Amino acid sequence: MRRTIAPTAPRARVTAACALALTVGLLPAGAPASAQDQPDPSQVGRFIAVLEEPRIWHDVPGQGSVEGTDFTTTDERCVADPTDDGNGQAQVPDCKPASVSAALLPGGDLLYFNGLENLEYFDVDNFPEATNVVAQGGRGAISDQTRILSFSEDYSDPTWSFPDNNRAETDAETSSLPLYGPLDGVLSDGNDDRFSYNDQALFCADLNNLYTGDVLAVGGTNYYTEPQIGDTGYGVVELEGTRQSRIYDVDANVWRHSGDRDADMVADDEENTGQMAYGRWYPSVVTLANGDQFVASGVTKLIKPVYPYDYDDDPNGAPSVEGDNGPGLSDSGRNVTQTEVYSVADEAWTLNENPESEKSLPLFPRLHLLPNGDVFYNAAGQVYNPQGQAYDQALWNMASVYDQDDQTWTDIGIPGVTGDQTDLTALNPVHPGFRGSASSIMLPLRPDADGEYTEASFLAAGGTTGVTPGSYFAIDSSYITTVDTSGDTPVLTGRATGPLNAPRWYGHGVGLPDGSVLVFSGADRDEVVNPGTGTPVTVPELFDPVTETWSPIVDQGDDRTYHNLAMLLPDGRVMVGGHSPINDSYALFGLYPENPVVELSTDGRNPTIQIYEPPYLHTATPRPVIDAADDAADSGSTIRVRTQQAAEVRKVVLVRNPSITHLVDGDQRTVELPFTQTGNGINLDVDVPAAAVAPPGDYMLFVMVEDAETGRMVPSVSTPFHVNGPTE
Amino acid sequence: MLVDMRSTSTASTAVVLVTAAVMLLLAIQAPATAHTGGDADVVLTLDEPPAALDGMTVEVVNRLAPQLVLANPTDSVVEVLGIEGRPFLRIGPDGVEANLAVADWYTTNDPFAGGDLPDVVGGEDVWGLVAQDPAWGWFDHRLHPGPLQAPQEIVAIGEPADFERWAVDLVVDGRPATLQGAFRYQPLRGGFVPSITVPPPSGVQLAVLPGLVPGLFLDNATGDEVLVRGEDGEPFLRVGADAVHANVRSPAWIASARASEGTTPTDVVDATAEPEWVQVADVPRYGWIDPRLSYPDREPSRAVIATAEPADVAEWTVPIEVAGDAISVEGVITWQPNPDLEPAATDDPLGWTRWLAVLVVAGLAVGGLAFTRRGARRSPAADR
Repeated sequence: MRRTIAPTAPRARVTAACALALTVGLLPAGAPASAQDQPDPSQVGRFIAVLEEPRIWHDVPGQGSVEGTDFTTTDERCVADPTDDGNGQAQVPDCKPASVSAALLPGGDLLYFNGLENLEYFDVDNFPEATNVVAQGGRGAISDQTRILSFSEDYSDPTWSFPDNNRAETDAETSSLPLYGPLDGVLSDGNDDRFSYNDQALFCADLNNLYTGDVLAVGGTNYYTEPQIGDTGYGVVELEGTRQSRIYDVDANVWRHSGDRDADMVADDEENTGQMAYGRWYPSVVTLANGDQFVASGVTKLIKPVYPYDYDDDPNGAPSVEGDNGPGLSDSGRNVTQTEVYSVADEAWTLNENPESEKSLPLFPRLHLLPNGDVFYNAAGQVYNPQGQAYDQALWNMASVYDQDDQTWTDIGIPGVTGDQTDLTALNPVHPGFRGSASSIMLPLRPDADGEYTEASFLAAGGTTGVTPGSYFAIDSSYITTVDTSGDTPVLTGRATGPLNAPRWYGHGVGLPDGSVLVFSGADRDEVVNPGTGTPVTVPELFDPVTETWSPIVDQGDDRTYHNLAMLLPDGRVMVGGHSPINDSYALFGLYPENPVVELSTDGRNPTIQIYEPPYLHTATPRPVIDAADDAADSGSTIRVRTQQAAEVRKVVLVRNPSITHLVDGDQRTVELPFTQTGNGINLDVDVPAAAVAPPGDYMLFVMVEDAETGRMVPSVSTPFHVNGPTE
Repeated sequence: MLVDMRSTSTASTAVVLVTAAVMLLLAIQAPATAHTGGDADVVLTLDEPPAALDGMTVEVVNRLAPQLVLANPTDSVVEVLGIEGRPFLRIGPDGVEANLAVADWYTTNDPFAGGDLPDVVGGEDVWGLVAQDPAWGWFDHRLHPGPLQAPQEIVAIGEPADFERWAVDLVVDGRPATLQGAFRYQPLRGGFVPSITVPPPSGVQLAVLPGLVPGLFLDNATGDEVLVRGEDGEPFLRVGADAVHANVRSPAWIASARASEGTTPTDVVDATAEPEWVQVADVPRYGWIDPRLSYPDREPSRAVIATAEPADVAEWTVPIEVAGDAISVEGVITWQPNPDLEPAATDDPLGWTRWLAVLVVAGLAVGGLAFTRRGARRSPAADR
């Protein structure tokens, strides 16, 4: 058991060769003009900083993507590449990436990557030679950039660095779809090497923190045009979900293909189990109790999910009607129903063979690990694939649990119907069944009187109701589903809470250590159905778990609609970032004129990151300080935490290091830990729960005291804590 | 690839699943109409194909923009003529060949007809194989000549009406033929919502699952077995006190979207065959896709639409047995008109307000779960 002095803030990481100058604004966008106008931060919190990378890099996708030396220091978010970037399209813009997907690394740095990279090219004002993202996206899109952001203690000195292969391009095969079989060279095979700069985009991969400290990105995007005609650019964009899973190796600072850990592993992997059997675009990944990774859903072809043949393992093999791997005609018209499990130790994927391990799920299904080790589907996810809706989407209305031991999904009911306990006198709206494009936040897991964790609750607010196209307009309904895992079969109940103060599509939830929940960003309607026509929602809201009501907080200022992101940071603050919308109506940015009545979300990505302080950091009670703590332990053990405020500590919690994309963090959890005060009054003995409650991996450990005036919990700065995996 | 599901011949797992997928896909697509990509209320219709195309399948399919799709399993050879009269596609027993010297070959692969043309265009014919199967789909720009708006006078009336024609010339075995159809104003004037009127007895909860093809969710708290029958009366599901079994030979099972390679019959799909039961859950509840709850057409009768009021337009029945007692769970499919479909909305400068209204109605139509409740609704007499 290691012991260390806890850091007081995310540690600054400066990579000598990569350290970049900072650009930080200490006032939030849209900040009030005077102190008198400042809202009370003890009620609504405050934004304290805006971080923006100062440079735009001109690297060359598809040619190794090693960080180059050519850059432009600018306040602009995009500049034209002064050279041909190698993809045959000179003078297209290079842009600062947005934090579309992000993971908090064990040392407190933030790994993030972009989405829809280079679609600024389709900008009617700045790049008039472009015509349409649908017609040209297969050529114009490029593999997404990655960044490592070190925040610094007070956020005044952030630095950005790169993995060695900035765009996560590896030498792995990417496509499983020889779309037209053997032809005489008139058509390409859909994975044309001429456009290899966008075969391995990280965009649309789900990502999880592994107990090794590395990050696993599952799936991704291969852009191509279908059909692709000879040497022309003709064809309609298709987005293929790839079979890849990639690992960001923290120590080596490089993206690599899973299964490539060493030469022996590569040599032993004759069946190429380092990649999945099914290509997945928008899958969801959950860490199981043993630390392995469970993946479900995703779609192999987004626009036209029709697969004329079954294919065997050889992605360039001849079509056949047999074969276990990859989609076949029976998989057409729906998302991937098969599930797979990734062994962290072996870096190998295994396809679940039991028929009941298959399930029709939405894209990015809201999955969580229950305290009994089952995986829970909260009848929520993302819908509307342009032209590719699933015929079996009615099944998405059912909440279900999955037992990996038996490889069996079990339907347990319909949220809002099964076991609904809504207080009808409160007039809280209930939208039973499927909820689209809202966060599903696991509320704190709490031990019962016997110290057992037998119940989990999940809060979902806003989004749209119903499967494709659903309500289209955002809803304000907020609902808690609860799963009782004490019996042989999990039991579903639920209740509506007070509604949001404004309807919100794609609001990003953040579970705070005190059990309250924030929701940031979003729009008033589904921005995937008709991008650019929604009105951004910029006033975040805070959920009080005691009153089960939502309250608006301070305006975030920036518009952040599709692909926005927010996460809890180790010091108890929250980062708010992301925003990479689809081009207006799938055509060009700037398609719609300025509208004097409503503000539309017709703009490009936002590379900034805002830092928000929740109200609990503005109480009269000083924050407790963790002086020292064990920083790693096995499940079921007891650890020691030293704090001068031990007598006042009311709660000790573990918060899983976030790993988020598209509102999804399958591992998101806050676990309240039993503890006793010991020794000389400055130590706490804290029980680490079973692995299904706190799976192996990295956590933030907070202690909290109570503010006497408000009754609010005041958290410490966290100390990093690691639950050991099976091989540690 | 469709097969006779009652065939006594051995059907492979793959074929059975293919059948299920294709049938359900067909169930959710309007086979001969497509939106133009311009006005959301303008669709394309296809006239009866000429006799020369007997045995072939021709459709207008909307994928980003209207496409013509032609599948030719016959021995005939169909040549598709481009805008300037030169053949650019040849669909026949040898697969699909393209004429690389004709601009239409390139432009019809792009819904927006953008990009440069190679130098070979305009020269002598250059034919090359582009598909081994004798079927092709192409963005024929005669079907979407730019954004197309319905004439205001037609929109003002609010009734579906043709307002322009389109035609694509062919040569079939050396003889001329023409595919043709109309641009039609056809607003989406509402949607269908299935609900339950005669619920199951106490202890059995049933809910409608909304979706492109609706489904049902059954929760059995009786402690007795509930048998659900398929559309042909065959045993489909047994929902017992602690497990659910599916008759994997039932056509209803194949259509349920719950079948997988491990839960499909090794022999035949046949409603009359001896059931082959496979356990599919170890709890007394289950959900499945059930096409009986789908309305077969895009719209109900003109008389129903004219009322601009919700109306029950079809009935559905799912026979069940509870502890051996035969019972029919019954329901209706209700037409929900779009209350916001106003012609004046076409003045919207962004051109999307009306589309939003249509979508809202579509959402409402599929968004409301129907709860099990007592008391029958009025009979669907309105759909006459």
